[in-house]
Amino acid sequence: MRSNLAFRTVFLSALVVLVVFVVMFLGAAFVYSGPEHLLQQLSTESARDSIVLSMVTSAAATLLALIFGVPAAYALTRWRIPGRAVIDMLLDLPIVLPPLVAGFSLLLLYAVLERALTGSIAGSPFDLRFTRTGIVLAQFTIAAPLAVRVLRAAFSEVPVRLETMSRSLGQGEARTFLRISLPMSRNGLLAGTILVWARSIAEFGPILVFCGAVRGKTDVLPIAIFLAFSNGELENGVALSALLILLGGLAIAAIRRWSGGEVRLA
Amino acid sequence: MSNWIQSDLTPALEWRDVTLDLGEFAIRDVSLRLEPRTWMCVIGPTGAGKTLVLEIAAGFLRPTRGQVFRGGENITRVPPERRRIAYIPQDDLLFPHLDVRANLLYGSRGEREELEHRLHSVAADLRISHLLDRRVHVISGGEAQRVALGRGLLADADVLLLDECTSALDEETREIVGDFLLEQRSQREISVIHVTHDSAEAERLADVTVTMAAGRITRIETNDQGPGRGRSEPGAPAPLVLQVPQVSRKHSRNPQLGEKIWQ
Repeated sequence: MRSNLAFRTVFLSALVVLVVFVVMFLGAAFVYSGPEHLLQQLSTESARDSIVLSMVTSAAATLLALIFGVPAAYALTRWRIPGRAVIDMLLDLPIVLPPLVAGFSLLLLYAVLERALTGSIAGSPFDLRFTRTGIVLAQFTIAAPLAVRVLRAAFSEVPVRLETMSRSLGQGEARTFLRISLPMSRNGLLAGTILVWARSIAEFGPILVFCGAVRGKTDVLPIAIFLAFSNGELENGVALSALLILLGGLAIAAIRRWSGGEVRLA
Repeated sequence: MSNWIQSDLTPALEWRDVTLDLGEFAIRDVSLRLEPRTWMCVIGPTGAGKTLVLEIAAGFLRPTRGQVFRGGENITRVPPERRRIAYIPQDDLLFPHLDVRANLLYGSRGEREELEHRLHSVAADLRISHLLDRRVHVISGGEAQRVALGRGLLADADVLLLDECTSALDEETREIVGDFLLEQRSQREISVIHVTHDSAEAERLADVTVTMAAGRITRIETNDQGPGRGRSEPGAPAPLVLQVPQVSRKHSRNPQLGEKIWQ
């Protein structure tokens, strides 16, 4: 009896310490400035531009990740694909890579392509380096593999027998996907979409390397925070940090709402 | 190689030396013919492989050996959507995100008015009219089985595979549903394979009863009291004496019974 109490006390103490630590470090930004000051900082023109740029690029990257991720995840979940283990590993790699390496690899890809195409990319519409469109590509490099991973978990929740039943009732694979698989995995898809968007809007390393940190051009929220702290604009950086913490909290709440309390990665 | 004495009729469904081993469940060298417009009941203990026989025909599973034919066409590798075989499984497999009406109409094709008419007619006969607008997770197991049955009947198919699909019904409802199914069979000239644990139900409904054990067919009996007996109008079952498989004598656990069938 006494040993049970000691056991629980130790484990619960660890939990309490962890929760208090997280609340303190996440709350620091809000305590440091106070709500009025935060709102004032967020209403400046440069902050508004960063917010809009972040929203637009992360939404575009999420959409692109879904366009490629939904079919890829379904194929990997349902069909026998030769070399699936290797494909799985390749798609997981960008998620675990150091973000700076991902951005650097994108730059190297352009260098290799330029060498192969004898320099015809530079200055063409396909040259996305240090552009706003390049931000979407940098976010996409991480968002797409992450989308495949979370959407696979969503599709694997749909019983295969229900899909086969749909087919035995005369619906082909495509119609079965649209009428059964997609609607039945709706909650997982929504939760996965928000997770991918949250990751995209928080992306920093690949954007810094691939697009640079240029105020008024490539300063999405994480880049703007980096610039603010680099230039000693502490108040501005704190306000933008608080905003990202708030957005992250909302995303987690939404994910928990749609995924039934937990986020599953396949 | 076929183990069958061939009849002149092209069978509605035919399994030729079909083998599938899923570990816990398996069937081995199963050969079986379902003649057109015949009601065949399959009985046997749990794990005998009855459901595997149906799921292979419906396209849920692919045999490791052997072939399945529908109306003379080899459908072993034909996708389920092109088989025109309605499978009504024991676990109903209703689509949980759709209401009862949408489930019932899921596999049906035709003019909207005609579909509505057929929907209401089948729903009334199966006594599920009051459930049409409900979500499937709020209906009982017996109601879900009747919805699954209705969905199969409304589908564009003339072969029905029933897998203990009345097991959750009380005796009275089961009898009503059985009568309704018999009526459907004679009206629409459908062929039925019906897996059941209820030998009384098999006796009442079946023209022929197949017994399975340990993944093999051990016995085939025609039912002299079956609903098709003595019928001479179009739609009557084929003469079932032609359907006795040689393999059943070879593998029969009861040689005397096997000999009796052969006579």
